[in-house]
Amino acid sequence: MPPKVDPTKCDGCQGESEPLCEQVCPGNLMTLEKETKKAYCREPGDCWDCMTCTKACPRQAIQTMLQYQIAYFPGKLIPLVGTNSVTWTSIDCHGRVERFVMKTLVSSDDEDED
Amino acid sequence: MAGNIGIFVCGCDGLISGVVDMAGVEAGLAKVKKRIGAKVFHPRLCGSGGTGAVRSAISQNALDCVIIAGCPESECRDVFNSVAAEAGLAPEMVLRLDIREGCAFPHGNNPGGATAKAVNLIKMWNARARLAEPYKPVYATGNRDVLVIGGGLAGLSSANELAEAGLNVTLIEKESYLGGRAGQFDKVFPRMCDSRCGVTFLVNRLKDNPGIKIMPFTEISGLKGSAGRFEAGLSSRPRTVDPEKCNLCGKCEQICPVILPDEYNFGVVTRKAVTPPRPLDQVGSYVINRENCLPGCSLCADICPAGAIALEREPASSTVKFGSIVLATGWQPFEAEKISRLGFGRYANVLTNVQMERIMSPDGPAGGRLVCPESGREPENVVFIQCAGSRDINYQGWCSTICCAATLKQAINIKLLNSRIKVYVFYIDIRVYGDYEELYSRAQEAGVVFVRSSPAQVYAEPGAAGLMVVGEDTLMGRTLKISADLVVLAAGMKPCGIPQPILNHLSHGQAGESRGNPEEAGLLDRRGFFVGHRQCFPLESPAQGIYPAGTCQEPMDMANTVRGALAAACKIFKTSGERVEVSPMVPQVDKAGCDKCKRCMEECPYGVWYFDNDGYPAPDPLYCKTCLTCVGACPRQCISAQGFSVQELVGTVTARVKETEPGEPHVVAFVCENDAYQAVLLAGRMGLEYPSGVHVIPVRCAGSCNMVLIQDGLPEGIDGFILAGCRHGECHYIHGADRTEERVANIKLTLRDIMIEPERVDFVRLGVRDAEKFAGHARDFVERLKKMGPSPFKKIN
Amino acid sequence: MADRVYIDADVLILGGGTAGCMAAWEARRTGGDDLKIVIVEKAFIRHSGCLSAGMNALNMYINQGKPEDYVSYARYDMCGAPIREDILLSVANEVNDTVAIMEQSGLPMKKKEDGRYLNRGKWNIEINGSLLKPITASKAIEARAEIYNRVYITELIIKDNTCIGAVGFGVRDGKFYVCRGKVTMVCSGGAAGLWRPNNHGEAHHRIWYFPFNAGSSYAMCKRAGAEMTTFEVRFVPVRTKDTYSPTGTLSIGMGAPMVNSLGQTFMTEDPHYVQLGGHTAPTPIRAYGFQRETLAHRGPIFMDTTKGDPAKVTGIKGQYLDMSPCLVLYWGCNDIDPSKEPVEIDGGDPNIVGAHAGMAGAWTRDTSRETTVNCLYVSGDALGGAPSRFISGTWTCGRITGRNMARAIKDNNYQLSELEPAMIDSLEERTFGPLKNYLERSKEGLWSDSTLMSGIFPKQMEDRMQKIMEEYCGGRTRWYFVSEPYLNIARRHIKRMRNDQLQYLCARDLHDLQLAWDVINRLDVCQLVIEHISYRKETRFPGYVIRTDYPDTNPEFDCFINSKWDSETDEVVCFKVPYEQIVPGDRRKQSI
Repeated sequence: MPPKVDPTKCDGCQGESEPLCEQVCPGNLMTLEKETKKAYCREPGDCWDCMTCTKACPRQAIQTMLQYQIAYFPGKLIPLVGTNSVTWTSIDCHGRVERFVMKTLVSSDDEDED
Repeated sequence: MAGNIGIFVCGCDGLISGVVDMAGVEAGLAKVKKRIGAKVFHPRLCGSGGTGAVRSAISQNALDCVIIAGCPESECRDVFNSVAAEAGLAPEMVLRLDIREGCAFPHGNNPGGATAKAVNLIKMWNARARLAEPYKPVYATGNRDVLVIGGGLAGLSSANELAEAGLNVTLIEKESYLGGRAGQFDKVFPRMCDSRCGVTFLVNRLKDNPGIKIMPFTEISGLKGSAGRFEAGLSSRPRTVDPEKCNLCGKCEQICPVILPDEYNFGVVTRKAVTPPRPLDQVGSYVINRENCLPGCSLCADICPAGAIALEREPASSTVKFGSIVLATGWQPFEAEKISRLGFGRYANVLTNVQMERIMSPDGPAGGRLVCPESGREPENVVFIQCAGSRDINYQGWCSTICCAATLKQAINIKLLNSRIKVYVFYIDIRVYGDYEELYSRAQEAGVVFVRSSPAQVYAEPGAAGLMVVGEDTLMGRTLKISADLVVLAAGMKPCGIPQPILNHLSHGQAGESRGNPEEAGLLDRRGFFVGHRQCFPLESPAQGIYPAGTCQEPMDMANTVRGALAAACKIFKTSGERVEVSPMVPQVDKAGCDKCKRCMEECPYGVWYFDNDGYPAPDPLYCKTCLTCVGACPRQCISAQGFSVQELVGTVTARVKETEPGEPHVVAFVCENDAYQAVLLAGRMGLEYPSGVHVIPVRCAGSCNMVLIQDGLPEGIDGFILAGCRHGECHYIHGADRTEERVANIKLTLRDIMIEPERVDFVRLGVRDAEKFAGHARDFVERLKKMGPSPFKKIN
Repeated sequence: MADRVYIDADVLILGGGTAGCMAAWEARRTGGDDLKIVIVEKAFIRHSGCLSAGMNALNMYINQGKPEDYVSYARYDMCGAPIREDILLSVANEVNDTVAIMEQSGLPMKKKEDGRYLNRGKWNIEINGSLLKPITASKAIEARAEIYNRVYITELIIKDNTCIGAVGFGVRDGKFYVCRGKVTMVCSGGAAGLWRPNNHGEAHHRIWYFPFNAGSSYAMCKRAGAEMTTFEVRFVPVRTKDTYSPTGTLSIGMGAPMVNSLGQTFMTEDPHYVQLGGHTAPTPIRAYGFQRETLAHRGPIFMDTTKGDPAKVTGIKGQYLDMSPCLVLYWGCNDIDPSKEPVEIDGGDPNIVGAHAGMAGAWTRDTSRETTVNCLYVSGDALGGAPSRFISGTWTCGRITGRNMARAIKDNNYQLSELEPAMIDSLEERTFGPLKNYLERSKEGLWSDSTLMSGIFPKQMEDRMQKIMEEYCGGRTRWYFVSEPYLNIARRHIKRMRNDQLQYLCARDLHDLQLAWDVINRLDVCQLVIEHISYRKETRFPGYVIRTDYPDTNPEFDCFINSKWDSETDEVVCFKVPYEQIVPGDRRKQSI
């Protein structure tokens, strides 16, 4: 599921030498196009689909697409990362939407039940 | 994390309790128990009974954080802060919650909604309080090293002020002498005292101060670091003449074959490549300007009887470290030769106003006598032409503000010298402001003739000796032709320019990316003058620690130059204390969470970040202006200030709240405390109604809103978000509101991608008095939300 | 010569993963404030390695019974085969403590109403583990370990059979890193990508194991002269078709059985499988069942999710989002609703792992985790002979290694050793060799498509290696079958590649250099695998390796097979090491 970067949203992490997606990629695959200052995956086939970059992008500019050889177009799965949770939106090929809110960290502050 | 919280709800003598049902609030909070040490509902907390109740509740229950729900923070601040302090609680741990202007007032006709909203707000503030860490004062040691660039009136004034206060000052001047323009001129209006007097006085004072190092003939060649930890490379040109050996015999100057216009005298006379020491040259020997020499020429060195000349000397490089910079690079005259109809450069008897200063200076080329350069004789008719290039879009569109007064000064002085000389002034408008109007009267009394004229023309009549000045007298409606022996053009001021290393530093982000050309980056205005953040902080540049002074900012007279220079010194004093308790609002980085992505550095409007010893970004607390744009920018949410962390704000959007009325959309509004929040308060005071589901949370600056607030709040089922910042160009922190507008635009795209209406997040700009706009906007927004229906997450939570 | 960075440590940890982070944490607890702990990580510690996509369960937790019962289970799950019971018992003794530590560090645990962890089957507990790696890394940061991200370690520095440090290159800065440690811990994961993956082209890394673990643990230990063990027990995953996502969520979590195309739950219906253990048969047997059914033309094979608890099916997508989100997308794109239709499964490419249901790795002297090379410790997938540690066991195993290292430094008063400049220079030359090759060989000309006229790139070499392993060493398309004649061909080609072809290996940039070292390391692991499989002349783990020339088990091989590499002859010498049973009982049965 190679990461695809939306150039209208990616801001190259403000011209940093190493944008966040490049910093976090376990496979050393994300990098910055020098001219456009937009991130891209240098070797889409080498991606393990861990979605680390997708979740790390502060601009939600990265979407992970399944390779066409194994999945039809145009399904989507998009995470929205909060401090203690991640909200997933799955949009299948027919446009059906499913949403999941998954806990990611124990929040140190559990409120009264009310 | 607060362990024992006190909740105090004030009835405000009926102002709140007349609308909000206090018993209802108490019932609504009945289940809020965890880590609550006290809950007090009181008709008037700021009265003596109320303060007593707060004081005893804090000390008896050992509360470590209290919420005062009542009037806005701007009121009764001292009352509650001192009550807390008396009970042993740091005033920083008092969280104020406005349920009067923000709840009772706008929902006066909706007591049910107001009561439910008050409960919600208290729960939201409780979530903040639970995450609040105990206040810890932070101290910083000031920085006492300053670099002053420019040895003119502004630079000398700043340097003197700083050095006399015991700071260490390095002053660099690109010429071999100090004093700048003020040292070149003749007299100062309005008192007609000697222009060189002031700078001479300053130089003499500085000479004896061990805290200052003066480096003439020196320019800045590189700049690294940030406020508090700058490092500059300096490059000093060699004088080539050894001052120890030079006996000022002048043989070198005589033999020098190079002849050039003399800049010191604005080209009225010529000079050699070898020049004698100028006034206020602190070294006092001859100077060889090597860039002017003929290749291979060594006549001066050969002839020097003292053997003082060594032509092979190289420029000297050095490095200085300092905390702040005063930028006092000054101005230069407009090039009057660009306006061919005025004949400057074509006729020797057409001078500019600065040349006139040299002519009339006692140490000028004419020895202070008024003469025509061509004849060497005193003129009979002198014509001044104002706005030579100024206020003309073809040349310099602006008014240099001082030329009129300068011309009046020169005209008066001519009349004082010889009242028989006829003096005419061709002008568009005489722009002398304030008390300088008196100069105009004096000139009129002295017999100066003023001609209100369209742009004039200067030409030589064939065969005649003098010049002719022709203009249209717009008052009399006729063409006027005056013959003149001497024409003086009032050429305006233009900036000398900012040294390239400083421009480079300012026009690049801290991670090195370019912010575009200096004008795009907001550093220079279209004229090339240095732009501060004019509205709120005119003395500051986009990078803290670099303060402009004097005419590099805009044309100004000497009095204003000195004022500005002292103001720059004041900014520096603020960061030079021995031990300064810094604002609790100075952000701190949680290193365990930081990935060193540097976005904080990039988005800081003031460039106050640096890398600490461990390589993590840190803001310099002395220079930080606590806008907390960094808190809003941090993708790891690991930057927080005391009492203001993303986690605390997240607490407010994830608190377990209820609909204020059945089916009423739940809206959280983060509003800038500087302008927008004032509009919200005003809306309350004006009794403007808006829906009860709108819960307002004031924030430091719109730029301090981290988008994770939406990312966390949305799945909690919040129906809509309002983010409110200052109006265009009015943000107190330069671009906080713009940053947030841009972040909101981005998250709207994300919402679109995940099939949630982007309109659920709304950005609005409000001025301090936009109460109607706020209330109307809130009503419309909630109306739109109702049409959209509840958030898709309402169902799954 | 590259710029050099010299790093001195008391404890030098190579790999900031599941084991490494916890080793640092425990070493700090044991060794005190002054201990200098360094972690060198080839990626970015907060998001690297096997845990980068998250995980929705911890597969090792003593929900019931005693630690010995877990050892009994792990032994049973390896077909009653020899395992290092001493190691596994030491992990089982502490694993529950470790989980409690991680919960305190912020890991969200799912709980039952009585407050106990929500179990999934006997030994698993459910978690919301999408931030498993950041939470793990936070322990290393908490321990104030000095962390070097994006440094790829290429070789250990060995002097007189003692490890004194390691060298590598900066993936971003291109510098040469020379690290010394009083003790060194290798925990840089197992090996994926030795065999050809199922998907091709841009999906070729859509595999079960983390594809960037290229066997450097094994290769470096092997080259250091450490004794290695059990490389014949490779792990063959049977996982969701195409995405190769874990299936424990379906099988244990929902009780979904494997069914064939005839609708038979063959593991419990066919007497052949019932006798081998039925649906709770050892992992290799269940893989074997899948393979045998497919070969008998009763495929495709499914996990039947339609008969499971409907309430649990709803939660299943959420669970996969915590671990393998791409499966949820796959279902969405392919119109698959697991509550309405069964989920197809497939066999994937074999992997060499030590802590999952495989047991390859370095041999350790005792429970100290010190290898046969002095001062060289291993943990995680790098440690051999002790399967079924999974994540929670690997955290624990890392902790124990960290503790033992800190103690060993104190007890033996270890000091840093002097480096020999000539040796470091030659290691540098070796490390940057492929870069230098490119500089030299690119001068000999490029084809019009920018490929080298006289060199090969890492990807090309990887393809060649995977083809050899696939076709001659029992790849998936060969149904995991091997025999001596096939192995002989594999042996010959892998030897040729290692001895003759590496001289042509070229790297254009630092990313390429990383890929080059991946393939160098993989080739070393291939050699170990071929020799070990060849030496074990029997079939003990049928779903993993089936020797067509020795289809039955042979009591003579009821032992470990260990090996040592002879650097002079480039031979891997295998030998038998007896198995020691510590936990009593029938090895072919689970105690509870």
